[in-house]
Amino acid sequence: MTGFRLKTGGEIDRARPVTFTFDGESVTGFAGDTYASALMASGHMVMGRSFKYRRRRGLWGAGVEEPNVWLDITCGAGFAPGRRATTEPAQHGAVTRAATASPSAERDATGAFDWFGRFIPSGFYYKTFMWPDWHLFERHIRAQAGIGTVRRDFTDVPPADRIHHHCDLLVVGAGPVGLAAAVMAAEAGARVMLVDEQDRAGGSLLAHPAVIDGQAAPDWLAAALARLAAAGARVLMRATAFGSYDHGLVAVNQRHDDGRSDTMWQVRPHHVLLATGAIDRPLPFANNDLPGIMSAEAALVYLRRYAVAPGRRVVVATSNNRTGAVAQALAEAGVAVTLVDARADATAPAGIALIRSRIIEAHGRRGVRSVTLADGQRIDCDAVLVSGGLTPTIHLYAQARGKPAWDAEKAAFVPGSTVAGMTLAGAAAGQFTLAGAFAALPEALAPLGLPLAAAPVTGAAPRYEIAAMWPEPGEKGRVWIDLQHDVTAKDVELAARENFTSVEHLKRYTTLGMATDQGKTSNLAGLALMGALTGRTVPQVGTTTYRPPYTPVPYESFAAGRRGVRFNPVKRLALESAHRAAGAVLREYGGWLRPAFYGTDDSAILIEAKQARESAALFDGSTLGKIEVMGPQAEDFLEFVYYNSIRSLKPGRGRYCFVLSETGVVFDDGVLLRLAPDHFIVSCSSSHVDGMRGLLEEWRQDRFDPSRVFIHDATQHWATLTVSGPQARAIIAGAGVEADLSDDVLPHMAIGAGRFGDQPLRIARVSFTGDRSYEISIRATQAAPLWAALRQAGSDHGAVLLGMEALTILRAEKGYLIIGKDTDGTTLPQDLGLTGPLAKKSEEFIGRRSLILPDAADANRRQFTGIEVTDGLGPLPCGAHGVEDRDGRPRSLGYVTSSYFSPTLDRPIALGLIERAQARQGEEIAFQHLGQRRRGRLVAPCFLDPDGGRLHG
Amino acid sequence: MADTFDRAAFWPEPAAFAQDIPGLSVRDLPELPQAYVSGDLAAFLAAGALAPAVGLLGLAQGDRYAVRLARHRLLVVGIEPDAGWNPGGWGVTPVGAGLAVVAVTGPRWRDFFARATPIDPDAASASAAFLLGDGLPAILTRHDAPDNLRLHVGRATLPALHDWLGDCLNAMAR
Repeated sequence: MTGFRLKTGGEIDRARPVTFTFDGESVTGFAGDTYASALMASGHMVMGRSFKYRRRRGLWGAGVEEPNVWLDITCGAGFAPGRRATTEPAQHGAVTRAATASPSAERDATGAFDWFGRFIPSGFYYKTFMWPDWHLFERHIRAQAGIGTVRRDFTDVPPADRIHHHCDLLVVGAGPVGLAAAVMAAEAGARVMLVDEQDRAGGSLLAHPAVIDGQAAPDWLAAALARLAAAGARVLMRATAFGSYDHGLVAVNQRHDDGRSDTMWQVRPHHVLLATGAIDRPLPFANNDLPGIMSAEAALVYLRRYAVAPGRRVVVATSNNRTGAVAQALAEAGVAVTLVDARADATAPAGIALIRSRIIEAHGRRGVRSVTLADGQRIDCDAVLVSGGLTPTIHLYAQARGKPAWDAEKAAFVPGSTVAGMTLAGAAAGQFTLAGAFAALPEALAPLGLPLAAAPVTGAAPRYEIAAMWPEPGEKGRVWIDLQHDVTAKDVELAARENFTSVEHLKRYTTLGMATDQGKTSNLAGLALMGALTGRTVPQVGTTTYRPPYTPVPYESFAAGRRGVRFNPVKRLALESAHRAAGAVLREYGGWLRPAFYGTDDSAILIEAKQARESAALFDGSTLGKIEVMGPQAEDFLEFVYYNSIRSLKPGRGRYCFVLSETGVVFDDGVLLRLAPDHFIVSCSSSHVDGMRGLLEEWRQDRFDPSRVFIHDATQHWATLTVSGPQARAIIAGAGVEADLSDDVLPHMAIGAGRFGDQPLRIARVSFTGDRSYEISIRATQAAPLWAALRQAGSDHGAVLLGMEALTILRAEKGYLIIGKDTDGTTLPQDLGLTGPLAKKSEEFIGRRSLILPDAADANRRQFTGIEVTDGLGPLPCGAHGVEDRDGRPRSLGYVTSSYFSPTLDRPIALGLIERAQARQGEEIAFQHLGQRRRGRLVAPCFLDPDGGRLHG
Repeated sequence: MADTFDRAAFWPEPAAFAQDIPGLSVRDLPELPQAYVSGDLAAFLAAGALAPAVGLLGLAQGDRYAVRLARHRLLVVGIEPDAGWNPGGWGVTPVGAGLAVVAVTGPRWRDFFARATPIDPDAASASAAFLLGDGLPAILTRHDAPDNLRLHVGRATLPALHDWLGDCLNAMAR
């Protein structure tokens, strides 16, 4: 192709030149150019390399259908890899390079791949590169695939905006039909949104002249936009409706050219009208991928919008009656044109040379230089424009489960079944004349139920006529079908020979239609050829499933800023500032940011754990769930929810209980506190609050009278400050807390009231450390003075601030389990040694029926146990498997769930789930981790103070 | 020094939020008395001489008002009745320290709402509870004026809301 810029015309601003580089070479265009049009105007022919064979490629299309030319674009601080040259506005100072070539499109280092084309057809990687090991070759093959290079240093992407929008009518496509529909609906009172992927409205009017309602197209276009604005319609350009989702959601990605990330619009219209047009198809002939061969419709767009002619001696090859207009436009621009029309009754515009034939082969090396026709003629040329017919763009319709129907007369799939809430109009509906499309608008808009004005009127045009031309079996030479994925007719024939004849197998075996263009210019030809090979029609071969996105969408558009601190936000403690000030190392635990330890290195952990036992510890337990259950049926409700029986629990007392799932698996544990006959606090694991609340709500609504039992999550209202250790009582009193903490009034597992200044307190005597312990709950926003007072008082008694790491050691010394760490998705209460309720509780509870299944009684179940290290090699690795050797191979008996060095006991301790542990107490077994063998003895899980005397110390 | 896996630097220390853009002003409000009430809501409202509970974007007025959350649950704002089960047929749990309140004020509240939730602002919802932004549980009403919104979120999730608000307002300001 030796494209050149016409002296006049186009939408470009010739007063504003734009200069950029392409593969190191300077290129000058104008404001309003795309990179594609600027490159074409400057005579560039080879602009890329094909995906597999690294063949030279030039432009095919003018929009999103472009399969060949991809650029990595660096402009200022911005970097955009793998962008279509046809949809990116040319930016002054940009540095672009062909994304599929190295070092350049002209001189690609891997161009020799094409010489070996016959050895690397579709599916070659299933048959070759197997010896000695596929993995030796896989990495290099994958490195050659893909489009564009990710720059790992480029992370500065502004967050994308996400906007939800509701309207009566979403019109997709701002061509003449979409514009007319939007105007009709908006002026009838509908809330209308109109979107188009191009940078300006007009669609086909930008390339095809027309007279509408007596006005020339540009005037009609301007007037339509003004009427839309006056009617309050929202019009978005550079906005691609890329996906049709459940419940009528349509996703639209809007580009911006000012450095902003894209905007993701999630539109929920009452009705969608797709006026998405149609895409020109290629023609099949040998070497139909040479640079200089492009879509006839695209060439017209370059001519009219950018004032760029594709060449000076152009062959226009077609199989339909729309392409004569392209030939005429080129001739008027001074180009020598020959029209080659495959239809026997073809005619040509006046002055255009016509040959009734078809191209069978294109010739050239760096680009097309001539073509050979079926009648033997050879025509020299520097560009070939082809049109194999129009393929309606029905993607959003098909994504919405619309079933396309085959229209043999138009040689295209058109909309078939109806889709609720969606209609199509114009070329998308198979109406290839503007007059016909306008006439059909009232019916397309009828579902709105509005009094609509008359549709526009334009002059009649000839009916669309086409002689379908598909690739034929056994055709000589290399006939390209899918330009982007380098799939040829021979690949389809290979698939048929190997019995991959279903459309789904055809697609996956050849990768036809799987590139980023999603087969926009290739799918139909592949289906037709497979049909010819297998004696089926095109509709009998069928189509694959249409899935979003219609065109590539940046990840950031989906993320909409949800990264960094917004990716998985944590909950924050009311006393976080105090913890930071005290030197806490903070980590995420169960969705909260909590102190791990206090100090500059983790040696602090063992110090905290030891000192907690010797004097006292203060820790922030605010994250523990505090779900209040109240009402006349609260007791009945909780008796059902808990594995343990709770009816005997008196007001002012607490009980350690378990909740099971319906499968009998231990779901959560915690202390249930009874404040009054009809008022309870369900204390649950910090990470399980939402799950527990959901479980409680589900059973409240499904099994109980929801007007007699109620659930309030008060977790975040209270800060819970825990004082633990032999000095705990003295510290609390010394802090100025007014409460009777005598053992008579507040025994272990009881709850009482207190005050700190004017703030009421709830004080629960509950222990997670095994030592005397008080959980003091205060209004979260008033916690700081109490914490300060406790710390002050604690300093007089050698109290230490306790982080999560030390806390987990203390509880492990007592054998207190952590749900989800010392239990897994199969752990039943009997695996923990808790068989009492199952044996004695007479009332129904969640999971009861699962506990009597045969699997629950299996003697070989994994059971909770303590593990004493016996090989003197330090703590066992967490996750190490208990193993027994059978027939020379190790068999897992279970695994270590918790493992620490205990500073109080001065030795390692561990907990685990081991097969038949309860019957194997005292037995020494082997443990294996990453190839290393260890030894440990199964013991009772409580390593310290088994009689519980420290609870009252 | 060995890596302590300290995440304190990754998570910025929470701070109060206040940001103004043309057409919208967003800022944290001081703590408000609030309580969940469940049960015979009509009896509770009558006993407290409160107006009917408002739903999503409903206009609440005055210092004491009720917000409907569910079939048997509301949030009362401006008072914290005694906790526990009331013989009148309702249960109360104070949550004034547990729910932070943010004021969103200005004529561009619709643009804000369009970024906050897929809910149609013109379709009334009896429940004022919804998921906001990145999935934060929240409650939203108007207060005293149509352009004056009040957003309630769990206090522990307030910094996460602030992070989302910053990005939202920056996008709106462009």
